[in-house]
Amino acid sequence: MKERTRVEAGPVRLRIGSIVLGLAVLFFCADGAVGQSNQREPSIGYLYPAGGQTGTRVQILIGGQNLRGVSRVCVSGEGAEASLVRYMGRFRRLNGTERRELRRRLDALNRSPGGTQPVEGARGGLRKELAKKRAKKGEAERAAAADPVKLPNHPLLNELDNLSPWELEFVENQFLRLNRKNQPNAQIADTALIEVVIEPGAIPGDRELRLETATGMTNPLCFQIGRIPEQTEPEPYDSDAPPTDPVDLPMVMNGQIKAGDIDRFRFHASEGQDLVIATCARHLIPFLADAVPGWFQATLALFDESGNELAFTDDYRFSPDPIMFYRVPATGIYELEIRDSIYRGRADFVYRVSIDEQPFITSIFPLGGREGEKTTAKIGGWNLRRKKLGLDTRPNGGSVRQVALHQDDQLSNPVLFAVDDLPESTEVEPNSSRDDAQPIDLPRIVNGRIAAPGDVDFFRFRGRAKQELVVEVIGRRLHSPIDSVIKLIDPSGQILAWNDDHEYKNGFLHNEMGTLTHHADSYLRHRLRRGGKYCIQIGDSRNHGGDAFAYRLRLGPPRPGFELRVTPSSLAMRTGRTAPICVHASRKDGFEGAIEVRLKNAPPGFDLQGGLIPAGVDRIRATLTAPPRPLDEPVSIRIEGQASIDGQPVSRPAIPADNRMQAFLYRHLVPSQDFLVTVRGSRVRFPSPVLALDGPVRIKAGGTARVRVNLAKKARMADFELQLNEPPAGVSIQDWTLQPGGLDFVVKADAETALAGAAGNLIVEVFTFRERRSRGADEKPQKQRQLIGVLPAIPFEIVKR
Amino acid sequence: MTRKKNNGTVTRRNLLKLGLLGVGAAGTAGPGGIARAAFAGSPIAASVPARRVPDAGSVRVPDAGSVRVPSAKSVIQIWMWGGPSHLDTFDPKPKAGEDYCGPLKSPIATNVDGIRIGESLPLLAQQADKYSIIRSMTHGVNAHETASYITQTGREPGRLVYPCAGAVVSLFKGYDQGYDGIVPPYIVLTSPQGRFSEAGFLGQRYKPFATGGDPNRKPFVVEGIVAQGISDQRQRSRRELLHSLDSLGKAMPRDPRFEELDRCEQNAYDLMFGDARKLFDLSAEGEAMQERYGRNTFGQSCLMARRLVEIGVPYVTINYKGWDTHKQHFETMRRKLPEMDRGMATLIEDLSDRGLLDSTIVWWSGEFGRTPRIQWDPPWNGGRGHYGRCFSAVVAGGGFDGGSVVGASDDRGMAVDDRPVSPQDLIGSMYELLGIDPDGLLPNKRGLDVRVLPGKTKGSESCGRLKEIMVS
Repeated sequence: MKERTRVEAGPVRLRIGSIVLGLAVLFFCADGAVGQSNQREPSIGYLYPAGGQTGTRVQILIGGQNLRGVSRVCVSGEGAEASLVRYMGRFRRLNGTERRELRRRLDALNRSPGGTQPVEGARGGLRKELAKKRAKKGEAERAAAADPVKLPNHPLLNELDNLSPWELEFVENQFLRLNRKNQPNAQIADTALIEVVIEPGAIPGDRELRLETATGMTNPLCFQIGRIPEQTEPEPYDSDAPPTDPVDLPMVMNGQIKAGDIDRFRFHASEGQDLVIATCARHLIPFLADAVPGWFQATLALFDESGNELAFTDDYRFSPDPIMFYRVPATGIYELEIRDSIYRGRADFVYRVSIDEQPFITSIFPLGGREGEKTTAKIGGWNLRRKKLGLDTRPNGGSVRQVALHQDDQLSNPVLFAVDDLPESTEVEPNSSRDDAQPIDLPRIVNGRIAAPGDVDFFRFRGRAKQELVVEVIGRRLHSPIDSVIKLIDPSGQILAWNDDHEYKNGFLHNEMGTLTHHADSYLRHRLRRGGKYCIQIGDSRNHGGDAFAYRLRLGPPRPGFELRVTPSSLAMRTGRTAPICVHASRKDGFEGAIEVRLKNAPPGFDLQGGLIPAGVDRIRATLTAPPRPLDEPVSIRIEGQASIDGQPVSRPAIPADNRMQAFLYRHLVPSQDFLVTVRGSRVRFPSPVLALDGPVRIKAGGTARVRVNLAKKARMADFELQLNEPPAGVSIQDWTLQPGGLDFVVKADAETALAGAAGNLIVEVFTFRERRSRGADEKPQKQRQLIGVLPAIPFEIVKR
Repeated sequence: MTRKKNNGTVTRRNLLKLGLLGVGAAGTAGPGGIARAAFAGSPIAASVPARRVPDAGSVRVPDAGSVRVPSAKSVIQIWMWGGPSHLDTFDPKPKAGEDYCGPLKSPIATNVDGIRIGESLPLLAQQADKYSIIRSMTHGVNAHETASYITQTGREPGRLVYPCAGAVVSLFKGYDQGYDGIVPPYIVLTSPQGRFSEAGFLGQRYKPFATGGDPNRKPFVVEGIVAQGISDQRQRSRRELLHSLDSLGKAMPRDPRFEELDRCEQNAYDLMFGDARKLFDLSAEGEAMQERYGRNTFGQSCLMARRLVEIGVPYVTINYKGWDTHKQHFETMRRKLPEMDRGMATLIEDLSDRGLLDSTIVWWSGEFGRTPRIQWDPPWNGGRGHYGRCFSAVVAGGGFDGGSVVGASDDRGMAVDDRPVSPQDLIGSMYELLGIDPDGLLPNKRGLDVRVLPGKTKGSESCGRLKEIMVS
């Protein structure tokens, strides 16, 4: 059979006329997600409320995109199960007739004997009043008598008679109470209602919630489980509404700041109470791509019953989420106000504010300990009955851990600490001058703190000629408020090197700091020219200080190493399919060697391709292939990297993360708890493509190389296109052809733009074309391109001509 | 609409007549106040006071220097506010694939062999022989404010805030050089930039007069000139009332500051009741002409710009908003590109037909381009971000050749492949054609030796002014 092939430069498009190569198999099919490049992938932008109390059942509104067909709700950890209540879709404006009809039907539901009762309170009263007015005019009756009006096809409008009071309220808010200040945001316009059942024994803290649909799995969002009662802001909250009834403490208030909103809550408090009013807003949704500032920047203000402002805060140290500590001067009713600092608002400005006499740790010292050694930290803060806290330094618990204080049935805020295998010392005052410098031996970690504003600490050590030295501060990364600055001083008092902020980022990508945006920790690396007694000086760059300004100062020779992040943290796969992932390497203390990335304890059938991070490379794109059989439950896949450092094998886990954009520009790898993968069956069985390669494809700059992909079964393809996803500079694909048993294509490296020495993986996407129905007789049918699969990662290397 | 009768309450007008508001009212609601506020940034308002401050009036306006014989008299700057996509307009890359082109993947031929432009610009395709496309603009900045500053001043941000091209042209071609037009020499249709001070250290005197209003509405309500629903009689009555309340002015009849204000006010009223008002009446062009430009704000702004240069206004900026298309990019392109195509193509053709194109530079550009690779992921959902590394500009007339392409971007429009052009190169070329010496001096308060444009800076990618498309 003769094949006719038309080849164009760039993405290769192939027409194969009348091909029937055995089985009627599309070797990829379009029924599932294949990775982040799928434009139909679901995503979620907010959960509201973003948490619940143990022993309760909570209904949660989720706003996102492409949520149609939610098939599973995944909540991390034990003790919480979630299920879909209803897909609620997107909301469009109704025309006047539709609005009147909806109003009539909602009123009818409210008046019927078994119908939904309006919500009581100020807004409920207003609605009653409005309904009475309408009834007087006989509007509803007249409308009913007229021709029946058909409401638009919408999941909620189709089921009006079966909706809960909350859902009816929601319908009314979305369709009838239009807020002209609201701006359309497609990424959070699609909605679903889920229910989470939280067992009484569920462990409090942050969980991750994801949705799975037919086209993929969403990013995770934070869902918090707590022990104190919760209340949700009534919707729609009207800033001008009369004050709400005061609530009793403790309480967690859940709310959303919509456009122009200022939310206020009243509560009873008694004289002498030490209240901790803690906000979670940015913590819930760390980064917004299309907003400046790139998160909901909440402010808190506290008022007495007469309206006098008692306290105000818009942050807590370096964290944008405000926390207020307030000793109640007199028993009475108080009002808390929350809003955005610059009066923005939209549906994903979600918050949780806890008002409680909870134990709250504001300082911890030391900030860690040596692995395996018993370590007890002194703690300070509010409502603490204990001043000491044991730190778990057992091996294999990770280098950064968290601990919280259990006090009766209360749990404090979690605090971070570090565990290392180097010898440790504690700072001994006085050491605030070079003459008083505290002597130490290297290598070492010194636990110290800038005890007061303006304080500086000096440490003296004996250096050897040509000795290479690393000085690193670990403070802000453990949530210490210190903004360190370090200086290396030679025996004569000359400053040899200094550093304020060491940025852990690659261009606009902040790859190692999680949600921190200020890289406040210092780092320097220096080779000493001669031996002698050297000093290290550490202080706060702003001359701030106090009990909380703790640090860990690492001094010693370089410890080459690496850390890994893998993105995305969620994949919904189809059996046998391949999806791209990205592995980011943060290289430490000059390590430049190759890192082999592989699966660790993955269920049988998973395979990772292209796992080699070449020497000197910080980021690769690899692929993960799903097993041939579906899995009943999502699995948490672990990935690790291994490298040879000084002749010794060194392993590091790859921390799952999501690449989130902040304020149109910056990107952050935000860690998540799991790399969660689901595997469902494919509608069409097909063999996985297998690369026929012995090592990387080597392409001469200015030359080409042919790649062969084996297919165990024959394929039928009518109209295809191959495209490189994020192609390396100067690399393109040409001459794609289908051969018996596989497919061939040519990789070309442009002579001028391809960089000799560049190495990594090629990610090849396969597209097909579907004919879109013409809208009219005059319109020609158009072809719609559709991503149907990704080939296994193809390692490559550009070599010199 | 029916208006309620006065039921005995005191109206603002009555209150003014009673003198209860006194002089304070003049500053807030009086007609003179309106006129002064509207022209606060224009030389008409600032002309006399400006001579008293050292930033403009007390310094000598430099000679233009020994430069070429000017071929251009005016500039129409079409400022693509927000940054237009170069791939979807004048630098299409159909071979780059779906992730770069999206649905706009079929560029069209122009009336110049070998030049193809975006498929949404068919009318501009027929005028390609009259303009040149620069496909290798670059400054590398992706932030609106800084990029706008660089693109309009030709300067990197620094200690001094430099004037943009319009203010510089206003300095060298405006009142100081004998311009006596019926409207200020630097006009903005319709909203001022807002991203930075256009006049920079030159001061208020060289700021543009922003018309406000919408030329697509009738009447085109121009700030301080054409007011809706206020008759001339009423306007004069307001003026008389204001004067009757001007107790401070009466108390100091010969104070030079009040004399200056009086002159300024007189200038404003000359505009309001004189030929300027006729100038802004687009209906004088006739239905067909208005239709030809497109019945939208941009189209009518182009028509207004043509009328302004026709009477000798040296610099007109059309601030064309709506190109910051992070979201709904292609929906916006489908809607706005035909509008732009029609207005701009008609402007060029009309200027050419009237013999004005030879003396009028049309400059089309935004502060940057947009990311060649489409951002499919949420929240962008097919948007394009900011992109200052490589973008396009278009110049026509005034001594610029048509039918040429300057420079080239790479096969995806990601980087400049050939002949980088910096904003400084482009602005410098325009200055040359206008007879402004780019090496001339700019007056400034500090007495610094500040040149119109910087020389070639170290590390600059500039390949110099656009000699290849400048008529010798």
